[in-house]
Amino acid sequence: MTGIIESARVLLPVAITLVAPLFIWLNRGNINRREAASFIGGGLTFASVLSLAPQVLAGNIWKYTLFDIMPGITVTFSADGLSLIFGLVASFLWMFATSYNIGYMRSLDEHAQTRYYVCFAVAIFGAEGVALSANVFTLYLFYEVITVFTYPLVAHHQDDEAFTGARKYIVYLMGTSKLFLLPAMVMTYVLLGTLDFHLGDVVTGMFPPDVVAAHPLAVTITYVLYIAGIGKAALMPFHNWLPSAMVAPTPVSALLHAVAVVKAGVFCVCRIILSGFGVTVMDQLNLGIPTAMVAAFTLTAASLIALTKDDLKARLAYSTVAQLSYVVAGVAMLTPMAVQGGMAHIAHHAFSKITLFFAAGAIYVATHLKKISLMDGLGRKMPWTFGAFAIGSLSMIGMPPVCGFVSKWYIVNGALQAGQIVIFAAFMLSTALNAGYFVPIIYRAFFRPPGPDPHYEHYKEAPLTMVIPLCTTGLISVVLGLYPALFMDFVRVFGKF
Amino acid sequence: MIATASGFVHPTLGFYALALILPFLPGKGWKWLLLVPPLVAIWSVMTIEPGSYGQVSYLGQSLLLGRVDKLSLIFAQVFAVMSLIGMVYALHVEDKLQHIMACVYVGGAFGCTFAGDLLTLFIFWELMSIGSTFLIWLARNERSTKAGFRYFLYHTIGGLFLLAGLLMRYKAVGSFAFDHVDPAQMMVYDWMILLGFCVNAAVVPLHAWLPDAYPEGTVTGSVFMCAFTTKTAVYVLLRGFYGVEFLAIAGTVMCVYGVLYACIENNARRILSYHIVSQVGYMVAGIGIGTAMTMNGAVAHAYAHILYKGLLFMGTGCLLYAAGTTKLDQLGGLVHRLPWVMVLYMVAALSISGMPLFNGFISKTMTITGAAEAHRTWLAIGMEVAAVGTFLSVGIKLPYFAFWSKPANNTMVLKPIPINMYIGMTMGAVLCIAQGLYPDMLYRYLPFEMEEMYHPWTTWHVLQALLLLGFSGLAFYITRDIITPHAKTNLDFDFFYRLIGRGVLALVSKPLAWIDDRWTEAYRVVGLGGLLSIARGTVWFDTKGIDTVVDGSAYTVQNVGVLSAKVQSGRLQDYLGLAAALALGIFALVWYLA
Amino acid sequence: MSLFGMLLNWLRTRTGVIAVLFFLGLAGLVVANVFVRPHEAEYVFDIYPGFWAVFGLIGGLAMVIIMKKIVQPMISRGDDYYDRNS
Repeated sequence: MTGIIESARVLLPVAITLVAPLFIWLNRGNINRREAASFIGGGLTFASVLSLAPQVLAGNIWKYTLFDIMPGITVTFSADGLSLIFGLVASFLWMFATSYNIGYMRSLDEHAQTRYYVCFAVAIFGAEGVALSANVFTLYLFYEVITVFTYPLVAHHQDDEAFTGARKYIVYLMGTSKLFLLPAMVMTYVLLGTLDFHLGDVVTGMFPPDVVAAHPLAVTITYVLYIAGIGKAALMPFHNWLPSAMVAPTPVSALLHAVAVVKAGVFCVCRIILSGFGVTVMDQLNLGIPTAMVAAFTLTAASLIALTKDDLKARLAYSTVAQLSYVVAGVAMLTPMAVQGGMAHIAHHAFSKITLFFAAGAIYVATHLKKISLMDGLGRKMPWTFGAFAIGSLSMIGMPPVCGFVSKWYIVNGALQAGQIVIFAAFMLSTALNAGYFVPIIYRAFFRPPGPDPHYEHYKEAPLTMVIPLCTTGLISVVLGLYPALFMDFVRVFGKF
Repeated sequence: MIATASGFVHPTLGFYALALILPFLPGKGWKWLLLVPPLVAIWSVMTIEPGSYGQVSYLGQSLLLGRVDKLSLIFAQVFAVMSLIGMVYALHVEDKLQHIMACVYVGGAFGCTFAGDLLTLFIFWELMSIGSTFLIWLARNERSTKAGFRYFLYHTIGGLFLLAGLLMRYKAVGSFAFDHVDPAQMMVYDWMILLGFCVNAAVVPLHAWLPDAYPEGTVTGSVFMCAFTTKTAVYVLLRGFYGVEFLAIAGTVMCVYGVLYACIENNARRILSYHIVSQVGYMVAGIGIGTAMTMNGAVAHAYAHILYKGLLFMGTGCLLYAAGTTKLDQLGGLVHRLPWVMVLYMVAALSISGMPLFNGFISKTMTITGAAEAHRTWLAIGMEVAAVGTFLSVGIKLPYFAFWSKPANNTMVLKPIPINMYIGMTMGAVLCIAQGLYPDMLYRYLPFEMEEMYHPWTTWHVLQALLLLGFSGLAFYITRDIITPHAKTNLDFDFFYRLIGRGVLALVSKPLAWIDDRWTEAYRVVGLGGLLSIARGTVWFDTKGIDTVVDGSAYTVQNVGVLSAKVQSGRLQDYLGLAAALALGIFALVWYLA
Repeated sequence: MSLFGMLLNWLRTRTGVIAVLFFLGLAGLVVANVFVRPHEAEYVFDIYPGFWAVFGLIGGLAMVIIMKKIVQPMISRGDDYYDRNS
């Protein structure tokens, strides 16, 4: 039986990440103390999230209400299996990203580093808040916090290109959230009088059967507005902000656009589908399969487009769009294995994708190269970076024994459980396409002779502060592949039905 | 994760352990470690009792890693022997990555052989694919790099068919058990699994990856590859699909197709690659016919084939190593400088042709006799035709143009061949001859019960073989000028695969990317425009309608005339203000109306 | 050059003799075929002496001539045909 634990402990991660930016700002004079504040913040956040784990694994849910704003609208935090998947990943990878940030920002001697680190920390604050939200209002609040405070990160370089990219980023995300998500929240309140998620199981949602029976169209419209409004999940046609956000410095792309921002997006989709609407209502109103179809289209189209991109980060961006749709498709298919696979993929993809982006950034710092066609033979100069990149790629393709295989295995099995042959075929095709656009990068780096580049002989690995995190996350990807229980336990505790 | 229950040392363990520690071993002495996993494997295979070993739990399934019975044992035995020969042959290679990838590859083959269920099989199948791809890439030239990529892509797609099939099967029957499928009741998923197996078995028309990739592998890598990928496929076909009629026909087609191409090819290793297709055809046909004799023939043929094909590749590998090329039009007149390579090669060449005294004779004839006794006359004739072609191309043409045909060549630079390569070849040759003279060495391990033992050494069998081969030789003698190889590329089915690849890019990917590039600019019109109109709408509503309901806070946040400029400015504060305005506006609107 | 190599070189000068020995051997085999036959015909024509000799010779000739003279001209391209494209 699911017990509710009323405790302020669930506030800790949010509180720590709220305070951390302050410490970072206060130490702006001493750069090492400033970076230490980020590290310590990350470590403490991770520890605080981890401390919630034992109770969650035992089947209980943490809960705490901070403010009451209006009847039915509160700021309340809760922690269950799904929360912890996202919360653990975000805080854990923040520590790695900080080390990586140090290497990147200092090697390139970037400006405005304090603003950068502060916004980074607040973005994690937003991510943890999203992870620990107990109702739509809290979710929305922190969702917007992420958008707002990642804007300066995307626009960091402050040149024309950066501002253009950042503007597109914010118009897409703000636009979808204001035009769709906000009305969805409003409609939910009007229909139900409350915005609280139904925690504890994924079968019953917030919408009781009489409401659904009385207003089926309104509930359906609310659902569509939710899905359209969560732009961070990069479902087509609202995906273009992701490739455009690549103007950001690579660590931003790595943590935020491979981990925090986009994972917040798919997390919200999972939350809405599983705790908001619940499997029963989704089945009743036939909302699941159309969503899965949109996701299947997104993942196929994005993979096909990725084949044409020569810029490494652009290719990775479209790969992310596709992989996010893996999560959405998995969860939307509403069979136990598919849902579990989708949720597991949140974590597995995060580790693999961050490895890939870290590698891309390391390549840029070491060589100032962005285009894949110019990276021939680079693997021999940077074997660790490209080796980790190879592991991340294998995970994207879904090869055993790397973790991407595990989550793909569950989702694909689930697709068959649901009898969805088209979606099943889309996943098979996507595997082949992933091989098609990742493998050339690797074999060209290792086995092609280098192109006519006068600087080739001087290239070597990026600084250790960058190489160690990327190798570690790569290693973790393999470990997760061999011992998937690490995240599957959380998945099962949340998503059993 | 891999358990060793009751004393079965799974051969894969040794290879993977070596692969993991090899990067960290300093100095020169590590080379002797290369021989340890094969020796352990041979010991393990010869001493283990049949049974089920090594159950592990993964992904919520119970996997069986060690299904040991007569069928898996005989394949594992020849794999172990070949791995030893191959490692001896490769002792001179300094590049550690080649050894690591060979270990991954060979370990994967053992994993597939002992796999008790389809999921385990799939995992090791993919690992084999990765290992062999690297064995091609590590040749480190322009051609091998591209060939390796095509190979990887192709095998990934083949693996996907296997995955799709086994998943669909799981959904239908609820288990991953890997056992024989009744040919009369094959479902869609069984065909998909069969398709995946056929890709690795190089069944025509899915075979073109073989002659495309194997010639480009490293000198030592191709020796491993020729033995394991296709024979693992033969093993799984034997395990799951014997008696499927389609295989009988496909196998015979493969037999003939392979030798026909071999007659006109120029590159020696390409000739051998087509021969793999042909010889595997014998095995596939034997599996398809499905009687105990033909299946035993397939197993015996696989065993013998691994030995003599490995020796053939070792011989041509020596040519590649010494002369830098295996193109027959560039070789010739070398017999006096590489006499032992020629002799050892000829042992294999005579084996593959089925000459009495060598192991091909005791295995190939079993399959053909079995086919005839099962009244599959046309198949048997097809196999005999292929035997003619085999002797013509591999038995005579290849060595003739490599070693003779031209006057004695004393000018070509030949790198001296390391002694370990000779030792490896000798080991293979000795086994070929030993099995040819004492067929029981091989026959006692054959897994399928036959009513009466097959005796290859009868006067008639010997005479028939000598007649067939002798007169094929005469045919060569007569046509020896016509059959001279020329440096040309012969188109095969890979022409179509490449077309598909380029087609997808041109017809699907590029247009999609173009559409995406147009759509990404649409946000300016749709997004900003939309926001703008709503902003204006809320402003109007706010001033005209809502101010009575909501506190005038909305006024203080935004300003009519400046609003449009602010939206386009991309400045953060403006968006925040707009957000608050919209929120309050919509909220109030709905509340008012509901 | 090793002893063996010299032996092989010497043999190359004696191709005429080797050819004669070869033909004699083939003739001997055909003669033997008259006396040694299979007990039951696996195929219809097995029984006849010289069947396999004819099979080998005609099969071999047909294969070489058809493939080299007819098929190869149709499907062959320059040695670097694929390198220019992919």
